[in-house]
Amino acid sequence: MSHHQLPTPYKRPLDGGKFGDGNIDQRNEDTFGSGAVEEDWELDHNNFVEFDISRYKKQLDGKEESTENLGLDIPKVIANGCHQENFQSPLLSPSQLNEEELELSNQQLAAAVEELVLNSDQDQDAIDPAIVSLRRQATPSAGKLPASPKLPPHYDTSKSNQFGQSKFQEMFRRPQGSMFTGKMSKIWKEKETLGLNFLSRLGGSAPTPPPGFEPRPSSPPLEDEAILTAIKDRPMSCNPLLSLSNPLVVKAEDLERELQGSSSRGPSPIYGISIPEENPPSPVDRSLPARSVSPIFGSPSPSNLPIGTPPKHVIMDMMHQLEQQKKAAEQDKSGVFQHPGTSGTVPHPYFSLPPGVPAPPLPIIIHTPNRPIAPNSSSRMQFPVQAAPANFVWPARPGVPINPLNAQDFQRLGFGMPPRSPVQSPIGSPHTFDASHSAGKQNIRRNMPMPPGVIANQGFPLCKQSMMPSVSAKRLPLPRFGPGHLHPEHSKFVRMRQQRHDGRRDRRHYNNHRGQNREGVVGIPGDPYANIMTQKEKDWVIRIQMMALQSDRPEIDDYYYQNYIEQRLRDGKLNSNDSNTPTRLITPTKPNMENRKYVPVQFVNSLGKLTASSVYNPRQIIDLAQPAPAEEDGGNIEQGTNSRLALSKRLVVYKIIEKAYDLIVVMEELQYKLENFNEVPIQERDLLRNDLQSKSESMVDVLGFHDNTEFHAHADPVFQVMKIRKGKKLVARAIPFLCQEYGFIVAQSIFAHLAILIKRDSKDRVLHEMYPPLSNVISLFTAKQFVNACSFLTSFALTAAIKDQVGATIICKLLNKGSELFSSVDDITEKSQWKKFVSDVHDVIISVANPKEGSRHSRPSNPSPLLEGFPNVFQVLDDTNKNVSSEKLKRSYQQLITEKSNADGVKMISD
Amino acid sequence: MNYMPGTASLIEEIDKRHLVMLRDGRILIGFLRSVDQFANLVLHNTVERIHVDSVYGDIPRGIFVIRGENVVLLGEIDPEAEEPKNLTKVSIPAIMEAQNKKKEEKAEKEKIKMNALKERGLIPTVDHLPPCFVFTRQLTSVHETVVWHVCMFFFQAHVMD
Repeated sequence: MSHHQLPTPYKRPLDGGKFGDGNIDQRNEDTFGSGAVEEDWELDHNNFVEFDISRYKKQLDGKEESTENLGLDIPKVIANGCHQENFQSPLLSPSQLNEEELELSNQQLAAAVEELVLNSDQDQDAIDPAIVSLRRQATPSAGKLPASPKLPPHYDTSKSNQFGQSKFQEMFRRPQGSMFTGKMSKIWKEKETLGLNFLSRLGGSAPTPPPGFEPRPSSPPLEDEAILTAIKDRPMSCNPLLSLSNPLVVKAEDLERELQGSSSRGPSPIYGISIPEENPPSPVDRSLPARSVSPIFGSPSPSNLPIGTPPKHVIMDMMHQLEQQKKAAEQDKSGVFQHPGTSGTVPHPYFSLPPGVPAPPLPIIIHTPNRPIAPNSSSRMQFPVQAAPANFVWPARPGVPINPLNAQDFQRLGFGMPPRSPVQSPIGSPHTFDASHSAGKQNIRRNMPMPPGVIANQGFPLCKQSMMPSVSAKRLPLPRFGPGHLHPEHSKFVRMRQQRHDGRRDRRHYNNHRGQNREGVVGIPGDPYANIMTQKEKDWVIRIQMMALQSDRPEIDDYYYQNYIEQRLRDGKLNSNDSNTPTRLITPTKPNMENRKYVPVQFVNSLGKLTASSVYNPRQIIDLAQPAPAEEDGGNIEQGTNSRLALSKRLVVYKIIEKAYDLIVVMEELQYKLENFNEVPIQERDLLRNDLQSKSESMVDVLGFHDNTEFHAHADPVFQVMKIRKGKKLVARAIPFLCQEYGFIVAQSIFAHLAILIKRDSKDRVLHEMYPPLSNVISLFTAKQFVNACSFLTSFALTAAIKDQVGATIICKLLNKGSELFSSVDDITEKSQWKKFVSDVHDVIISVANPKEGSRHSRPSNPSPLLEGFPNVFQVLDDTNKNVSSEKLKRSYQQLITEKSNADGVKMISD
Repeated sequence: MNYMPGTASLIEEIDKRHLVMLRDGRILIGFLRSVDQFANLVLHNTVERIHVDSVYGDIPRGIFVIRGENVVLLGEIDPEAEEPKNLTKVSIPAIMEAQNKKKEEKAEKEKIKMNALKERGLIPTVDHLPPCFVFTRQLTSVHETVVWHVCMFFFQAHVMD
């Protein structure tokens, strides 16, 4: 078998390739994360290659005419070059190789592959044998030759020396060092015509290299070896395999050792080889994809993604690329980066960038003549033949609606590029809505009959519009895009059918439709367990499922639907009247992710923990971190400026409550046993009682009383607990188990913060549970305790209390208790304090019942019928304050009790 | 014509009596009380129905929470047609006994079959994949390049022979 017929990677089209060049890069970034691939090694490579070219041109001065149309003459040229320089090439063509050399080359290949795979973090430049060999050749001759005057003006020759010329000279002082200079340049100059010639020679019979194996000067080492072989074996073959027998391949370790000092830091070889970048480098595709939008609730922001996380939304990358391309194309048009057309190589416009600096987005080089033919390894990867630039994503051509997909993704998925007109392709993609049309379109869509189960979501198509102004701006007038993601034709059909059905039934909006379904949901009438799943929960599930239907990539996510519709369209069935066409439920309920920024809750020790709940983290793992809204508003003492401190404080309180609940449950059980199992033996009862006693003591500890029977309003652990809803319930349940001493402290705490408690209880509605135990505690008050406790009740607290049912009840209970307590007490001071308390209550009642004009206090909207439970209260108030007219008090009191049953109230009071 | 996407379609089935078949073959019948997006199900008043030939039995299971991945099929029970006409209901012990018996029979059959195969030198194993390279599109270009070179390496060796 002749080597001539071996596949060559150097086939290059005249009109440029038809593949998106970026797919390889894309793939790598999918695999390794964006930014994992550095690009500058290519730059360096170009640097060398070009340098050689110019030098070679000089060498060949006058000997060869235009290199553009040499075609098959290239080998001759190369050969001439070789002869002129009188080189006996050590790189033998395969036919010249003996078996030993083959063996050697095979070993080298194996070593090279191993190096590439294993030494992933080594210096690319050091490892890439192609680069190295190029350097090896370039440097000595560079010493001989001055910088070529033929270099393009922006070509900075000095850069090629930056790798340390002397070092190279030392390193690669070999006789064959300069031999490749001429060949090299020739090869790169002529690769296009060369490739074409090979193409024509090989015809269609040649096996094609796999995708991704594309030759370019900056290609991975193995390919570069192939290049070397190609140079050497010019007239014979371009077989890349044979090139592997290149004895010049330097072991990567050696190179690395020698080049350790090199300042240029290329990408790691594993990336280097994994990016068969095309030549010329497509600058657009190497711009980092815009993965800044995470469209999923609660999903980590893309910046947090570890390397290797595949991007969830390739579409963002693609859109970003489109934008870049657009810009680049404009730049290109403006001629900013016109590269010399005569030169086979494309000078890197940013050539003067130091190595190690990632290449900035570069203009697309659209009309590059030496674009390689992307190997058509797969018959499925046939793209519409068009004169579009190869690295131009095809839908981005002006005048054609942009498909959110680009060729790369088709390739990646193994789909053939749909041969149909791109007009059809942007099905349902929000990106396809033209900004200029969308506003009107919104209205149209709002008014047009929707298929059942379809929501017209205003603003949805616009959500990405703002992001991609440059892309959307030049889009064609929209084809008839239906609601959501339906194929335009399909949605039209659905609309038509819906209109036909309108006569018979209502236009059922989606929500209506759902509502109707809901009514008939109950399976068995009178099922007590029905509707356990609340409507909110149902809606949530529906929303989640609807969200799953959202797709920016209908061709990928909904491939079969798209094909199905296409087929139906072809068959003409979609326009027929048959009603068997399935309707697809469309969900424009997509959240506008641009407005949602995921801000993780952060507080001490939350590192590495989930701090927010989402669909994917259904239970908020640190739910304590989120302050309940009820506790945020008003009177929040602990929440100072330092919210972190407040959070940790709250955590402490939650822990207290949790511990206390553990105790209270056991205690209640013990209590229940003691009370209800009379047949329990005495010893056991004692045991239980002791147990209960010890539990009560630990409860005292848990609640923070310690041995402190003094109440301190400023350091009040009970109040901290009571600020939380659960805590209130806990205290209510705990009071019966506390001795009067501690019960008194709790009562003091309640009285001291009564206003706050009442205010907060407006949402919790659990304060009333505290009343019965508190009432018991109050009943056991001594006169001293009573006076002490009442001293905490300021007029502000009283006002709040009188307005609240529970508060009023507590006041009444106090008055009730006080009246019987102080009827027998002779202590003057205590009695006077009692009288003061009563008069305070009296004043408050009158002021609350008769609010002044303009006062912010208003009469309570919900009168307290609980006051009726204390018929003597009025008497107490009336008796204690002789100086105020009892009539007014009576009226006020009556108003506070109930507005409607005045007569009853009066009767009750007068009793 | 109209349907809800994914498991949302189950929401319309809530509070109806459903038969759920699990991956292990168990059949549960109960009132569907709750679903979520994973098709996790909560069945209420569940019975596990065991069919053995022409008899069946119900074992009360109470509330059954099913992880969605285990659901093979789910369908509403028609209350009017719930009593199978050609099947007879038997007590729980009876159906358990029948089930065990069936299992033993099956195991016995399997054993005989295995023995027969062994006698003939056949040991049933998992089917092997055909010995060919299957490259998926997910290969990264690293793989592709390496694979390409390795292939061509062999190819070359072949040529040189």
